[in-house]
Amino acid sequence: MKILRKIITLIFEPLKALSNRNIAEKTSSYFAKNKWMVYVLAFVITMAILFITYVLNVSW
Amino acid sequence: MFLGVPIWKVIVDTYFVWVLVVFLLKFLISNKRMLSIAASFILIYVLALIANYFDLLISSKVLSYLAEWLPILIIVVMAPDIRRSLEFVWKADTRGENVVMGSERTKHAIVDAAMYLSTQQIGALITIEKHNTLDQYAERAIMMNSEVSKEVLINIFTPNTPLHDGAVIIRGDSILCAAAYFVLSDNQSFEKTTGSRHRAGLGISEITDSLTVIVSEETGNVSIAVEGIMLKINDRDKLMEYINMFMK
Repeated sequence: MKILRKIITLIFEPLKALSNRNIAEKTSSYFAKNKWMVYVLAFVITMAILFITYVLNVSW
Repeated sequence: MFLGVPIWKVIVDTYFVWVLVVFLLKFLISNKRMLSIAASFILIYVLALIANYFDLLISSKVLSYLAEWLPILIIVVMAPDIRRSLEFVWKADTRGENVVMGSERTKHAIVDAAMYLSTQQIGALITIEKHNTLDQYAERAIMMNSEVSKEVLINIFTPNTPLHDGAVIIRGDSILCAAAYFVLSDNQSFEKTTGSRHRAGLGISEITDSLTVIVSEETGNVSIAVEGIMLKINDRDKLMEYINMFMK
């Protein structure tokens, strides 16, 4: 029943369903606990940007 | 050479991009509200990409307009938060690597002081820091760095003394500062008559993961503000229970 309600909320109010998950709160706490993860994530994003720019040749 | 580009250029490029991405990430995670906005921003861009990819006539147009105008809209609406986050990114975190929450003695001191101030109808605002640093508020306040005790807390909030107006910030087992000022919450779901002390407590709980104990000057009611929610607690044991849960 709970799952069904969640699915219905996701269909009718997707934004509300997403905001109820407290993503910002969880992300903020995670990065506050693991400060080094900021540098790792930044490295991953940098690599993705470089790949898109140099290998896939996507212009900005 | 790397794909026709000199290696040194790729390395320098990588370094510059990495520095900018670190800056952007720190800027976003310093403030929960900024992070929520960034998440909605990403969501709209993803939806716009999907709509464009599948050539959805109306939604692709609407989402493209939204994606174009959203940055300007966010800068206008979120100006104070952007300013605070930018300040925070440039400043060093004065805390150690590990967050240490207060001991049993500190918890009892906070609860005892709050209950005493409540009986005397003395207004108080006690904010307990967790993972998100409150340095940017502390440095504009009166630094104390003293041990937490019931007597010191009572003394700080005694009316007509220099430190009584504003909040006390507690970090671990010490009072970091007194007379700190927070940004007031503009949450419309609370009564318009909600006082500025309560709005300040609520405001700091909306943008950081701290817990604030608020004692009303008018009624002597004790409330806590955490994660943008305010709860009225007039029972000592219940207050202790919440503080215990928070300071685990």
